[in-house]
Amino acid sequence: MRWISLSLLLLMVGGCHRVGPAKGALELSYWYWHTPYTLNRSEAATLRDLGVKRLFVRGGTFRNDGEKLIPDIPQRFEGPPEGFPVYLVYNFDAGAIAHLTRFKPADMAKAILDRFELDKLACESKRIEVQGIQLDIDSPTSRLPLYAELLKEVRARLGAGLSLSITALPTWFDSKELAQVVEQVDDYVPQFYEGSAARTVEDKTPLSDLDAVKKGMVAAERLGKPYFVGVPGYGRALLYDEKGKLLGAYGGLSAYDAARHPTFELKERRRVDGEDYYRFQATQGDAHGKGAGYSLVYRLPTPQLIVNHLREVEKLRGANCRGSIVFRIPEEGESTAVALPAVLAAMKGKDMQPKLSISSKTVASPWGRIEDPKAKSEPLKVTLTLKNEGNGGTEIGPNACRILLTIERGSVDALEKGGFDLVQPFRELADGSTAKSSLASANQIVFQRVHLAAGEKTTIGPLTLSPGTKLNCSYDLIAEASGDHVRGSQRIDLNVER
Amino acid sequence: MLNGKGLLVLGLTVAGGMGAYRIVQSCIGSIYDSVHYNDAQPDFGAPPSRTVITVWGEQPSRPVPDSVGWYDDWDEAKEKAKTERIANLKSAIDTAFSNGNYSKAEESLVALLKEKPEDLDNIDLLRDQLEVAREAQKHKLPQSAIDAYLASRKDAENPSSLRAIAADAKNGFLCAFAAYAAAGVAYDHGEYEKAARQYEEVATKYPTSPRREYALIMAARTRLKGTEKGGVIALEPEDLAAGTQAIGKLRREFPKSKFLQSAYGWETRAMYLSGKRATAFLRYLKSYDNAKSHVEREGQLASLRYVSESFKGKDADDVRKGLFADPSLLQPYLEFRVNHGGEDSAKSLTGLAKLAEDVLTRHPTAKIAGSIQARLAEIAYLRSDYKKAEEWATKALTESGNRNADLALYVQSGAQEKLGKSDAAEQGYGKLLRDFPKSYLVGAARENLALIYERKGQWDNALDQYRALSYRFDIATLVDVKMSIEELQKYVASRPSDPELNKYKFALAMRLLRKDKLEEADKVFREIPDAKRKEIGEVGSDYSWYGAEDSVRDRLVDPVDTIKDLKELNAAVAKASTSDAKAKAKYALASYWYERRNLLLYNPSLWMGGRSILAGFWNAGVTNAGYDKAIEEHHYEHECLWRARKICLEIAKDMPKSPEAPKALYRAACAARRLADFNPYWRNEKMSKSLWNECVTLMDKVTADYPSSDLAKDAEKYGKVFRSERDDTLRNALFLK
Repeated sequence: MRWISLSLLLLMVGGCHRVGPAKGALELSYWYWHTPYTLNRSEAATLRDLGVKRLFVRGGTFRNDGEKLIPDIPQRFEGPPEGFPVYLVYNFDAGAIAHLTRFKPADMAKAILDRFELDKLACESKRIEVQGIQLDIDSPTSRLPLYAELLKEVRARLGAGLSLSITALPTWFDSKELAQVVEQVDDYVPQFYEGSAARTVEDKTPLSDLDAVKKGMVAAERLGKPYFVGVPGYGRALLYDEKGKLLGAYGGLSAYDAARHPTFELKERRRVDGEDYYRFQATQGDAHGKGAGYSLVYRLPTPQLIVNHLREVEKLRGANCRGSIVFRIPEEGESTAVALPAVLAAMKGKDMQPKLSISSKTVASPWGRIEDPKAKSEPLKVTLTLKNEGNGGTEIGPNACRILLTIERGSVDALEKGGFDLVQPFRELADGSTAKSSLASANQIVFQRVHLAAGEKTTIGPLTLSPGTKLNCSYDLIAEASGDHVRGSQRIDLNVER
Repeated sequence: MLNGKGLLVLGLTVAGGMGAYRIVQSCIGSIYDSVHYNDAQPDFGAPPSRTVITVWGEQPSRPVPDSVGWYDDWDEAKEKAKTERIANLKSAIDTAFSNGNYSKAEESLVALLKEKPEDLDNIDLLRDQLEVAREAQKHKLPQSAIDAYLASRKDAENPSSLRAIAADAKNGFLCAFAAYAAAGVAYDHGEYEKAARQYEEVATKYPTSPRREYALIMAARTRLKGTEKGGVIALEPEDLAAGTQAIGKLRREFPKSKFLQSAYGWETRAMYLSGKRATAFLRYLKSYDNAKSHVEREGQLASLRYVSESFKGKDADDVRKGLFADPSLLQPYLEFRVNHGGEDSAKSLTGLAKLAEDVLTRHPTAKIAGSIQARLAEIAYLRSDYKKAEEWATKALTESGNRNADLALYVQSGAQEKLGKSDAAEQGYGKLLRDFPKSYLVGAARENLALIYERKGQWDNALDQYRALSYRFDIATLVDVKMSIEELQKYVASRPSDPELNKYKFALAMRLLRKDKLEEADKVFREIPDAKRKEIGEVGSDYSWYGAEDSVRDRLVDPVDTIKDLKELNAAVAKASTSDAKAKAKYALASYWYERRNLLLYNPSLWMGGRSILAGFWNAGVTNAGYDKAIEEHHYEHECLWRARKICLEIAKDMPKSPEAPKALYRAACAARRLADFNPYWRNEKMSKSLWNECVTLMDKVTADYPSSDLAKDAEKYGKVFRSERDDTLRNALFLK
């Protein structure tokens, strides 16, 4: 698959399934790419709410060790015991693809199915139903006949009752040999948009392309074989040199990392056709002096982009279209894939604004007063918990999530920034302006965080307060979906409740 | 920071395989059972906390093993015998009851209850049966009545039969037992008000029954439990009165009751719930001081933390007064504060020390002086005032009956170490090991001693300490990396009756083999009986991810066979008379290393699949003592790919016109490429860049210098592949630390 060849940046993909009713409801599935394979209750519930019935789980990646194909980066299956039926997906890395002709189809099929059998047993031990196998091999178009032979071997050796699926590159549709490839499988999953990267930093062309979906589905229908449409739910990061020329894919820092990295400055943020475009520029070189002036561009799909694709597939479906498969379920806390609850909210047309709730826990810190007879009262320690209860996250950037604590009375004697990236005390001056100050003389403290996802919880503190302190907390979140500011404020309850 | 033992996922890593390290890194948390691989920056002079607390999230940065070590001794045979013993006793109990032989039942129950409670199911039921067996011998009752009672006790969900037994006076002593058990059903169902009334009724109605004592504590416990309302636990005044009354009766009537400690705890809880927070805190301090087990101590600490966080008004002043009034509470207070409570800043510790000194001044003759002085020494140490720490510790050690003498000795040694008195510190730690072999500070003292020995270059002594600590990675590092061959030879020679002698001989021989001292290595290997040598070398095992099947690659083999092969290959090189013949023989030798690859010189008994830890988890902050150089040498000696590369480059340089030259260049390129991403050591930036560039350059050289070679086409292709991989790797490393 192309996103593999482009390292961490990938776009979309394909999946598979047995032949179903020609005009039944379209199926929605997801790929699961990280390790280990496990779903928490919330993820499982959201997937069910989305109507997902099965998952396509990466089983492993084959590489060429110089003599044979060997599986690498294996999946570990941890459940859930009553989760979704799965297809196990196997891909080839660039080295293995480069040497396809070195291997006999029968040997490749054996290597793949040997691993599949082991993984299938591992799944069964965890009560995970395996419905089939999917191969994700980005074969060069010129090698499609060889790929067809490989699939024939796999088909011949695959156990009864198991389906065979493949992903498909859009460039294959120009080849007559594609027909003999799809002939071997139960269904296939083409990616109907260009995976090519913008060659210059000025090129803002979105990665997703609904026109390509339209043209691709017409071509797919002509093959007369059931297919699913791969949908992009995963972004990419590209590195450009100081002249704006593409250097290649970049997997070193996530968008969140870049936003809080001291070397990078956010230069541009825009939304183009459902994709968020972030451009960070390195203001200096890295620890070895390299990279000054380089641009790091993140192109991240939004929930709406996924919904748009699904609706387009629904609108354009022909007799052979069976549904869509989204790449992919995000890992916890990652910035590159779209969060499941956000997709669900977008699908249901819900408000995508972030919504902050603030709660506090206050405890006494009596040690100074116990140990020092001169102390007349003890400080308090308060921890604030902030949760985004909305359906949408904030944008990514230094001001995405700003919390202003106003010290109306008393003082904050010590603080920990908790889950925030930056903290800065200020002093309000007589003329109403503010200036940076020490904590001791501050009457305002600003906390900043580069992102707060839908459903995410974070903390401030503990803050050590002098007796009698009064705090007010106000916030300013910049919504990812609209760019609107979501503001509010709340007085902090500092009662010790036990 | 994770809590608990080092989570070592041994067996996952290859001798340094690429994919393996990624997995291991994600699977391993902090490695605690190690000095050199612990990711904390330890202060080895600071005494570790004797209690690890997790219930509220406080986690120590660096726990060390106590005198018992990390792992309980697990004796399978003993466990099996115990299981059989328990089964036999249970069977004997059933038989005795069914035969109406209550003395035999009592005897068997007493024996059964001597086993550890955690190994027994439903211990309350067993204790109940014991009481019944005893009572049955005193009071004549039909066996059917006893059988009916025992049967009804097993049906915990249905108290009606128990109530029926309690209601029938003909059941004699069993009435109290049944009524008590019925109250227990209500309690288990969360019907606390009902349970409390029933327990009180048992205590009142059956004043001479053995169940009265039980009923009183349970009545107190149920009454003082409190009720949760909106997240806050409240205690009604009438419950407080009833619970306190029950405890008063228990204390008066059963002055030796085993429930008195529990009663004290419930009373304290009641005080807290009634707003007497300072009193409760002081009582919890007392309980903490008297705690006999880790679990008890942990519970008291949780209570201390919880209560202190809720202090209001003058609670803190009252605690201060309480500490002055009862100086025996100062020791647990200091321990709690130093290890678990509140601020640890220098300012806070200064206040703490002042408090302790003030209490000592007020009570100059108190028996607690020694233990307080030891704590003052600890506080001074934590404030980096090592001179003061030594003074306090020395003073503490002059006090007789000092229960913190081990702590004083430990802090004294740590302070002396900081003050440059290394010999005194060494002696102090040694004394601690001798005089306090069961102290919780034994593990930490061993660590400190080991580091002192390392600094002195006494690697054998350091190794003995790591062995005593079972720090397997530190042992492996010393034996396989740091100690010289001569030191290792001396170590082996001086311990002829060491139970692990063969393991260390194997390690010595492997080190000799890596130095290409084939004859010497062979001799030492052969001193180990064949079967033992193969067992230590895990011959035939396969550490690669997916099995080497019939391949020679990545398999553990008998090193004696390796030596034989190498002798033959070396002999062929020596024998070769022409340049081409020499190139051919050397290429055969290089190919031997290249094809067998990663496990040929590996010592599995030392590393147990975890050698990549050496590169990925090494904590340079612990000690430098020349380790960098030793680690570098170890990698060059150990990696067969590096050996293959080196020989191939010699062929290309010395015999460029030989038919083997393009093959050698090609193989050197492949070896360099594999090493570039082999494990964290080889991936480090300097090495990686050099190897990445080298693999590209060498492939290009094959194409450029040997265009008519069979390998030219492949070399051109792989030159591009390697170049692309290199660029990807280096690009993705940009802006990372």
